[in-house]
Amino acid sequence: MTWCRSPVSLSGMRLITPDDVDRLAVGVIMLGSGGGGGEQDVHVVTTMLRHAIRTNGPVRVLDVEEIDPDALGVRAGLIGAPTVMIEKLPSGNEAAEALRAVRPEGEPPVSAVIGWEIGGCNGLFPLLLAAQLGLPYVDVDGMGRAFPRIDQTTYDAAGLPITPLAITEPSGNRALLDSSAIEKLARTVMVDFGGWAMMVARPLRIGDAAKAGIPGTLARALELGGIWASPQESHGTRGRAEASGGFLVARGKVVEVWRESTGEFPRGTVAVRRLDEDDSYVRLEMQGEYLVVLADGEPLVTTPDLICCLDAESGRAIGTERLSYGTVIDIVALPAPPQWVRPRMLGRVDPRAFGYDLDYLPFGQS
Amino acid sequence: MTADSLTVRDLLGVGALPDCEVLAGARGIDTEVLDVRLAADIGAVEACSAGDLVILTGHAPYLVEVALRRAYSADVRAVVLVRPEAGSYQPPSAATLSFANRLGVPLLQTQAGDPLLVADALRTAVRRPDLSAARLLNAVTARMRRRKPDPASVLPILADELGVTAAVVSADGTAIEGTTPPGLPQSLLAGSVAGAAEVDEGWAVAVPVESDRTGHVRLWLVSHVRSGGGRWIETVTQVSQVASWALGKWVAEERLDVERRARSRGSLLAELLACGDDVPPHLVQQAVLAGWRLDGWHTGVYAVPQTPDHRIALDTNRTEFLRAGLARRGLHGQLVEGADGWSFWLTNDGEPPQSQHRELTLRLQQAVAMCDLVAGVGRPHPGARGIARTLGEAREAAGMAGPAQVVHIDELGVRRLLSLAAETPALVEQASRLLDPLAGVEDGQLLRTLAVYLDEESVTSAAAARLGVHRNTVSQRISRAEQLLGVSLENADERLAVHLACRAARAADD
Repeated sequence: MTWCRSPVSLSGMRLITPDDVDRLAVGVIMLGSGGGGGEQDVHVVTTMLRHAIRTNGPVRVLDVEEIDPDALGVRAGLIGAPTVMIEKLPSGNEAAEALRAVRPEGEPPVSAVIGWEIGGCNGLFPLLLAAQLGLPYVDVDGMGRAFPRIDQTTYDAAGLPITPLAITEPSGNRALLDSSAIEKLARTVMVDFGGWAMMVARPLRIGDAAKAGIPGTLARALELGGIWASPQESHGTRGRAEASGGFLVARGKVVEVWRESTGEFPRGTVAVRRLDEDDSYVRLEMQGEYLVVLADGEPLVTTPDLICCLDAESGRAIGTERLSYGTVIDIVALPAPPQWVRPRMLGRVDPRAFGYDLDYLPFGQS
Repeated sequence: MTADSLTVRDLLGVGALPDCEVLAGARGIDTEVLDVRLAADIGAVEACSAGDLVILTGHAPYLVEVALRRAYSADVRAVVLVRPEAGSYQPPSAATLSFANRLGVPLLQTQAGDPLLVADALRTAVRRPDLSAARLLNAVTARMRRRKPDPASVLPILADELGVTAAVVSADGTAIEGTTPPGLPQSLLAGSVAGAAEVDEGWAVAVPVESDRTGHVRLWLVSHVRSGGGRWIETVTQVSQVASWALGKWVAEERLDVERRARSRGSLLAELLACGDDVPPHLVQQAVLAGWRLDGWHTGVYAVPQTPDHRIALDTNRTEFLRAGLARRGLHGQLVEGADGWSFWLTNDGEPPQSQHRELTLRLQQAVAMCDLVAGVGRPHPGARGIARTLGEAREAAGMAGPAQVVHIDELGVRRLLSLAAETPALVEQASRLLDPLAGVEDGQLLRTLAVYLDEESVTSAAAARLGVHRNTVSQRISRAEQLLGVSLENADERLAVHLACRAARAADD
């Protein structure tokens, strides 16, 4: 099974226009695997992105081969809870301000924006930055989906630097962080900054990013957006899932939701009574994202493969924070980017990395 | 299954799992457990082999479900979750329980500070069942040592240590302390050795506390076991046995006390006689402590001095003399001295046959004659109220007894009526007047023939045989007597009057 069934060549469509934004939003939500911000959170970003494109013109998208490998690319992303962003709205300029802080004196200026985390809101923030700065976006990111930790990227796995890391928030607080334990420090600052903040990491050589990162994820988001943004009635969930290179795991009613927020990240477990089989349950384990699906004590889908829960009626994706009792959902599995499914990489993102006593189950082998 | 093997149900009983409950999968509870394993992760569950019981230290829902699935595949007998005494714990949800039920793998939940202790206790129970029984015995005896072992202190100890509901029960099933298990079969208390029987909820284990010289058990210690299999019932029986010895000692002490207060037996009997059909438990307890058996068939005897003498009944030497006299003739029963006589009764398991009356009367006669007493005997009656009834009859019979006689109540009806008749002067006078025409006729032969004829139910041949004459002679004499008296013996009223007159006349002659 291929990760991106029909790698979208963006040639001929190298511009992201306001018309593309909604489709893109659906795609990044699917790649969020239930995390990285839901529909409401993404809506805030799409509004800003559309405004920026209308003001500054469409965002040019380049494949990694189309730019000088020695040119510098910068990545941006939100840290914290996307839901808080709805209450404490961004100004839209946080990333641009942060970039000024991380650009070392004397180094050449950055010539492009690259992706950090394609899943959820963070799939759109780099495009917003690109639009504001008038820079092209190079189609590569470090996750190919959403993950909770800022260092859960293939960039970090390859040893590419993340610091200094600039962090800003709408009311003007700024910090430049450098630490070997950047995750903990950044989260501490983020909490003091009010629940969410914008980060910009040290720019990378495009060549390094292309080698270490996951190319083509924006194209993947657009592909998924095209499939899942179409009206629900026109294609069944099963058909859409297969068109996306994945499969429909189960349809069922949420009968138990249990959440706990004692650890670093909130975690929860959900029991879904299957509607397609008698007296049978599916269990969803979630933290920021949906991470494992099990049925009768056997794993069906495991992280880093993607798990999406969709409202069976509307076809809209439901994030982990909003999944509630009584909802009838379709659980859809999509394959992880192949870069993660390698022995040395899996340890960062497999179920054990999230504290589950389970091994990664190769996609589609349940 | 071997005798030493334990099932999941047995393990629930041994008390190794504090506050343990079966959450789901009860279908598999009677499977045999061969070993116990502690599993901190799925890998450890996968390493289990058939027959193991797994104690899971984690309790995340997915983990429990995966463990159940692996346990099922490996033929593991049960999965035990340990609920910590402090900290967060998420009990298995309906989805998990439904899954366990479908698999039929028992999912148990216990509470403990350290799962290691649970594992240790269970492993000991599985590998050395005798050792865990010994531990329980130790615990029970140690606790009994600290207090005077009466039912009020022993029963709670059994309840705590064995998790049973215990009761001290008399042979008729009345609980004198604690609660009798509902549905307790009477047959369990009919024997003379420890036994177990199925009751409404689980099993009842009965061990004898105290029995009489014939081996009849008067008092039982009954434990209601709600969970556990054969092995556990055996352990409960063993521990109960020890407790029963302590209770037996208590009974002996109490009885000694009761003996010392002999008078209390009299008042106890009086209370028993007064309470009618429903004997209250406290009275049952006192009766059992006094060594009385309330179940079975009782035959009462009431003995009084030949000449009324109120002092002698209070003479304890005389009571002992009577007791010895009865015992010498094989009459072992309860003897209670009253103000004007002695109540005595014998108890049999079943209803004594009619033929025994004669034998009993004979032996009694010998015994009471030695003590210058006369006695009445009642009919056998069953149960606690039977004591009151038979003694009542005996007392009535004793009132009718002549010199050096033992009278059975059954003989009393006719004799009593006739003695009344004989003692009523008006009737005697009337009788002699009625029979006057026959006085001296044929040397009194006519009157004698008439009396015998009527005694023999007006059967001529029977009367002839008794008198040693031909039956025609009898017929002729009866016709003559009818003529002389001016009555017809065909008439029932006249026949009865003549018959009564004959008896009254004979009583007067005597």
